[in-house]
Amino acid sequence: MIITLMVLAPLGALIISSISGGQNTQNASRQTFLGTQQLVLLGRSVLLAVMAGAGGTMAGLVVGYAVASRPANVQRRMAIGLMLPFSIPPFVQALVWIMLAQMFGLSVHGFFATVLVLAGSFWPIAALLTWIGLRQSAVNGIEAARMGESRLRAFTRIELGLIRPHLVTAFLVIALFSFSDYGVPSLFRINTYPVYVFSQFAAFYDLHSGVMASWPYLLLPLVASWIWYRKAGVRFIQSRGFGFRSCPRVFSPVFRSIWVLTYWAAILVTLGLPLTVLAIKAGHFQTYWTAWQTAKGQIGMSAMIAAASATLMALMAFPLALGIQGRFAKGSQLLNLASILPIALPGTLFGMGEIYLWNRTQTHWIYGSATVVIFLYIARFLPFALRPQVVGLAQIEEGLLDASRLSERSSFNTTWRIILPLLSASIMAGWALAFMLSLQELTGTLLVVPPGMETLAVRIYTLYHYGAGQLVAALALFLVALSGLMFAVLTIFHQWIQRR
Amino acid sequence: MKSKNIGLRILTLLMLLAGVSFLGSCGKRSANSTVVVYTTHDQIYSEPIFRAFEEKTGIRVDAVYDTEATKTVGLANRLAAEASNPQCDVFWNNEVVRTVILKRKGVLERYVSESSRDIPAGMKDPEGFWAGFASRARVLVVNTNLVASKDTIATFVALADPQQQGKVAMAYPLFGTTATHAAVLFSLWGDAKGKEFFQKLKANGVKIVDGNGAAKDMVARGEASYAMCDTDDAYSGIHDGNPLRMIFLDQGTDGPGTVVIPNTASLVKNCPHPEVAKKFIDFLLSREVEGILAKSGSAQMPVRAGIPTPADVPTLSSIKAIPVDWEKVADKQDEVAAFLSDLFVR
Repeated sequence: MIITLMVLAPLGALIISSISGGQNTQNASRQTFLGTQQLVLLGRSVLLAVMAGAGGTMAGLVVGYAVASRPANVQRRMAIGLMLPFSIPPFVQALVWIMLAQMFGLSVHGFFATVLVLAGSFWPIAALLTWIGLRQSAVNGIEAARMGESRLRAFTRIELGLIRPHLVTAFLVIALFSFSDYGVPSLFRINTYPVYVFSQFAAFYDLHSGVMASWPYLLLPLVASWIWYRKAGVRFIQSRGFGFRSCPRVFSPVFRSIWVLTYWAAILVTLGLPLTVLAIKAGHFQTYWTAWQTAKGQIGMSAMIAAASATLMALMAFPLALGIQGRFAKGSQLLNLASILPIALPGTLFGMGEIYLWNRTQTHWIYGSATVVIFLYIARFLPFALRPQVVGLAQIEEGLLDASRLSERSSFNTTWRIILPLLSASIMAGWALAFMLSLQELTGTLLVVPPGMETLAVRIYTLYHYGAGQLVAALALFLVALSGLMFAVLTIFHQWIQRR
Repeated sequence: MKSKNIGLRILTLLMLLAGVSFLGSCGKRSANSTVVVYTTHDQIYSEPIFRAFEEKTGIRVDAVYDTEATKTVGLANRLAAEASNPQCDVFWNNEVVRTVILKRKGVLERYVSESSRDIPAGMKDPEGFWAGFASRARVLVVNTNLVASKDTIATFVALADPQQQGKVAMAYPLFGTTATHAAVLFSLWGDAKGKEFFQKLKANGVKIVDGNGAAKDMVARGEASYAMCDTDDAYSGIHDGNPLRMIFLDQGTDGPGTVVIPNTASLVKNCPHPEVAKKFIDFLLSREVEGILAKSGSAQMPVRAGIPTPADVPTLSSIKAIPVDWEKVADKQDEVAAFLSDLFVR
């Protein structure tokens, strides 16, 4: 019921609007459904997605393997390091490369620049999934393969096969994110399908044309979700039985150094370099002070909205996760699939849906306040708060729950004293992910932002076009700092809980 | 386990605090202490005006800005979409045509500000639905490293000459002042000449980009020799030290002149805060604000005489401007946009 209300309602409203004819304001160029222009743009976007997905997955595979090759106590710290590049949103990565090129009198834009930046933004997803997959792999099988085969053959024939579900998942997630991204292609001045849909709706507010143009957004993720579920989903989710044990990978000192260098090179390029470029561009301390003075309202508003959204998502995700794990409801697999679908849909669709739902006199208190932005973020990012809890629940030993029931504890007591504490890491991971994504969201926010509630991401994006490079760089650093700070606080908090 | 319950309780407390912040973010605006403004004027230049108003009156300004990619059009259409449930009090547009269209759709309300009494008649609506202030002119920026002074073109139609193949950049002509400029040309030249010109421009390989700023930047980087943009874009490029020169086209005795586009201020019909909205419009249309905008990086030209401006900012009297009937231009807008949308498919 929660998914229906928060996630599917805006989408359902759009579909109803498209069938009924919907709202129609001035529209100088009413587009037909999948005309030549749309097909060209759709093909361009699909190619972009496939190339970014492939590039990001390959880069992530190498770095993920580098992490898995280290001793167990080092792996966890390196895995935390893999989360840090997420604090820089893709459109800020694009700004960084534009600024860097300008420092050398060059210009960077176009299709391949877009592919590189998108792959460079999302490779940590593949790295983390590769690492998780390698840790979950059947240790005995890998060791047996190494006794009989060369290292390379053991890797290509055995290890890659074992982590295939994780690689497929990584490829699809990166491809879908790249397909629906608006910020990077618009900054690199290439017209893709998401840019076209956003411009059509934002310019003409023609809901009907916007929805008709958005049908590929609904079909492609469905296809991708089906592929994922058939090829990877079941094996990806069911990680019980192997547990988290590192498989010892013994390398020569040279190879060990190469793995370490690979890891640090990836972190340097996607985290160190952007931070350095932004700091150089921002320049003097006065720029940071000016940025703070002019944007402290937006910084506070962004943090507050993101925190509220992430909290509500974490609360909603728990009963949903229980449902998906089959503890409450039948049809858990259907619920699981439905919970994955919104991952691939672009912010434009959700923004359009929220406008159609709430831009009415009776719901003025929603449309004209931060509530509409919070609803947008929940609709868009609830699956990200949900997935860690689903995986976390799958890790809980049934024996613990059986023991709790045998000791005559009520369901509430079992949930409060057994399940929730064991799930705390997953809840916090989901909260952190939802917070970062909400903080960085651009496309949907551009459409629904109420007066006086401009978020930091929107401010950075709009100011960039007016040539305020120094100010933009300083604000981008504030955005990264907010994400990083929240991540650090949660990591320390979780480690404190683990030690006590 | 006990410690984990403690952790959960702390987490629950944090969640409650976040919930409180959610409720706090949904507070209603006070009727007399907040005014909501939708503005298409560049955020970096309009924000100081808002801060000045806040300091002067203590009334908070909640603003919505538009994006460069959907300049003016997006915000105007948002206003139209919200007509039955207005969020906005004042529409500060950086051009005129969309304001006229909104007036025709019944989105605006008549308000004649005291501050607009000395604004020239040609710069305000005779019926009192909008008033113009702080104008810009459409200009040509030229890369001085690529084009010598003696070779620089002087007329707008020369942009479509085969000699300028691949040398011209322009903002997407569906949005912003480029769209306004196109509509003015069609109303001035007639449909046949207007279509012929833009078809030649396309055949010449004109580079279409998002916004006047992007067009100016292309010329600054040497990726194009010429770009059409506004005076504020040109000034910012020159002040940034780029190899640019700004040209007012068609200034000769036979030339029609260039297009001068004022900002417009208008009151939204049934707006939530009408009284403070009128105060804001009075402030926006004041000579004080025109002076601030003239001195700012946007280098807007005051529509009224006698307002001090920096030495490098021309006055309206020094430029030959096309006399524009904005109602007639608004009549052409849809038709011109449809033609250009089909022509410049991206």
